[in-house]
Order: sequence, then structure tokens, then C-alpha cells
Amino acid sequence: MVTVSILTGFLGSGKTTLLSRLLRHADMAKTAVIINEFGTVGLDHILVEASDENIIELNNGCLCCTIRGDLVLTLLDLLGQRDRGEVMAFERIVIETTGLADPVPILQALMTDTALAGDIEVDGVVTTVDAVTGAATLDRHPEAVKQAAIADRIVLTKTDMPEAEDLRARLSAVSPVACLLTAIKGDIAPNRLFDNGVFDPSAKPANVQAWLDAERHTHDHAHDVNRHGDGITAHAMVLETPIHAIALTLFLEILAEHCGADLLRMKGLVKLVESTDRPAVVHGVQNVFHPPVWLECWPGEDRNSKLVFITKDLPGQWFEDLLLAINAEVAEAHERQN
Amino acid sequence: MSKNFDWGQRLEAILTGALTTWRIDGRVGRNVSGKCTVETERTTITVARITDDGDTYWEVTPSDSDLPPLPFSGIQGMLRAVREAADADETGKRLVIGPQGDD
Repeated sequence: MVTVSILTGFLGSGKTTLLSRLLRHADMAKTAVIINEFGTVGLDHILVEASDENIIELNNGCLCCTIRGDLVLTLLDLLGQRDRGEVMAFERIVIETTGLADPVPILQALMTDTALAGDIEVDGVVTTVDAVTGAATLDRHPEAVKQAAIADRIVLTKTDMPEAEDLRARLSAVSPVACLLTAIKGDIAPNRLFDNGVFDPSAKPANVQAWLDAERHTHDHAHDVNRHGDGITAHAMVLETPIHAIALTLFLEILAEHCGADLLRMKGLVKLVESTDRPAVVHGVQNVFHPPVWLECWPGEDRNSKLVFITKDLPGQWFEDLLLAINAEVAEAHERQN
Repeated sequence: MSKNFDWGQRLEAILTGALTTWRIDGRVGRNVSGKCTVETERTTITVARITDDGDTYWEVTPSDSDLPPLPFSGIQGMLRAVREAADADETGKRLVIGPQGDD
């Protein structure tokens, strides 16, 4: 029997960082990973620093809305490959959801799909919560409340930054049965998160049981894979033109100043003029932007910059217009100086 | 790339996107001299990219201001000035350093 764990948490709450660190641990050697990303351009599978062979990317929609069927098919395919010896004999599967996912329909699909019965057991839900923006996110986004409420383990991330103590109290109220843990830069032992027994809906608060019951009666419906309701949209930008480092800095400063909390998440892999062989990984959550991290090399043949913006009612094309204009302005200044 | 950059068209797109981002109702267009304008309920702001003796800068001129056009070296300053001119609330948030009134 393969155990399946769900790793969820709101946009930018540290799921990928946590997963990336976990996969370096020897106890995670027999783990396959399914990464679901919102929008058409996926980056997390690149940002998770691990062997590609056991990572599957699902980025044609959000698991909770449109591709539940794809998840079941992916799991069945993965289990078949394992049985035929085509992939390593994994014993655990971790499903990283999108940051906007409602974990309830995913859980429901895993627990009730007859094709999967007997092959998998649902281990539990691990939810990451950002200590910096977590309280505001719980206020603004019901998805975040649901992610926390259904958790068996809540991992408070970014606790190396100033942390609001009342967030802990609030999370305990939202999910009284969840174990509240902390992880700095994703550092936590796998056995604190996984293999803690079969997911037991009856041990959950009444609201979680009600959500699971309600999910049995939901319907499938067509979706734009880049939209998630409430004006939340993913915008992807792919650029051949290298970007000047100063232009990237100015661009991020403008986003922080003008977009505020409506820029839910920004992440990207950027080709800089000053470093074309080593891409910069950039991350932002609302108006908190992290310093770029440099990869040793490009993860594949494709050397275009890729940026993904998940926003609430912001014009997607604006990001590209703005970045290209700032880059042209910086390039002109360089030309004048030389 | 910068030599072929279509600043006129790109500026209109940037300002249109900015209005949406700021949640300000307004319209971006051109005035009779071909300069880009941002027309809001409160004011009309003229935005021009000036190239002068090898120097390039942005000039922001709100119609309701008696001050001379405000020069900015980059897009960042230009956008901030347009936002402050277009949005009364934003102007109210501006940090004023200096003598304060008695009220």
C-alpha cells in the first residue's frame, strides 16, 4: 500500500521550499512527487532541487477545480509504472497542490475513487502557513482558512522573519486537532510530517466533516485553467530578451509599491544580461520580495526568462509592458554612457 | 533593442495598466501635440518622454497644478507622480517633512 500525503498552503507560503528540503533527506528516498501549478507555465518542478524522474508536473489547471480526473489517472499511471519496474519502487507519494487549492475535493477524490482503492491510503494533509503574511491571508482568502482547517500538520514557515504570536493562536482555533510545527527555510524532519496514520475525517472538526460531505455532491465544470474565481488569475511571461539586473530590481520595487496585496504571488526564472549562464530565481508574496537566488546553470535547453504572476484583478499584460519598458530605459542609459 | 523601442505605444499601455492596478477610473490618450495624457475625474495629466542633448527624462504635468512640469529620470518616479496626481487618497498618504500648520 502506497501512502499519499497532500502538501498544501496558500500562494508563497513555502510549500516548494519545504518540499525541496524534504527531498534531500534520506527518509524521502522512496517518495514520488506530483506538483500541481496554477497557470500554463510551471516553475515549481524546476525549483524543487531533486531528481526529475520521480517528479510529475500537472499544470493544466488546479487540482481542486478541473483536473481531479487527471490526478486519479496520473496516480494510476504512476502505480502501474512502479508495478512494472519502470520507475523506482516508491512507497510514498506527496501531492503538492496549487496555492489556491481547496484540499477538500482532492481528499475526497483520493478517499473515494474506486480505481485507487486498495492501492493507496491517504496519510494526511500538511499545510504551510507563512508567519509574515499568514494572518492577512486568512482574513482575505477563504481557501487559506480551509487549507489550515483540514490540516493534520501545520508548518509555520518564514519564522526567521518577525512572527506574530497571535497567528499561532488563530491557527489553533481554525484547526484545533492539527499539530503546529515550525520550519526555517524548509528545514524539518520528514517523520514529523508524514506516515502518521491514515487520514481520519471523523477526528476533524465539524466544519471539515461538513465540507467533505458536501464535496460528495459537487459537479465537474469547465474552467479556464488560468482563472480560479474571485478575480484571481495567473499570468505567464516568457521573454527571450535578457534583462538588466538593475531593471529587474526597479521592476520588483514598482510591483511592491503599486500592486500591494493584489499581487498574491510572483515567481520566476530570469536570464540577466550580467549572468546569462546562471539564471536568477525570484520570489514575491504580496509586497514581500525575497533576494534573488542564483542557480548553477539552466535546468534545461530552454533559456528564456519565465515569470508567473498570480493576481487578484490586476492586468496581466501590464507586467510585461512594464518590465520591457524599464529594461529598454536601462539599456538606453547604458548606451549613452558607453 | 532599446533603439527600436516604441515608447509612445508602450507608455500608453503602461499607463492604462497602471490605472487598472490603482483602481482609478480614467482614460489614456493623446493631446493635440501628440503627448500622452491620463484623464481622470480629478485632473488631466500630461506625460512626456523628453530627449534633450543626450539626456532623457520623464515630464509629468497635472493640469490642476501651478507648478512647472515635474522631471523624473525613470519610470518608477514617473509612475509615482502620475498616481499622486490622479488619486486624491494617494496624495494624502504622502510623507511631508517640514513645518506643519497649527491646525
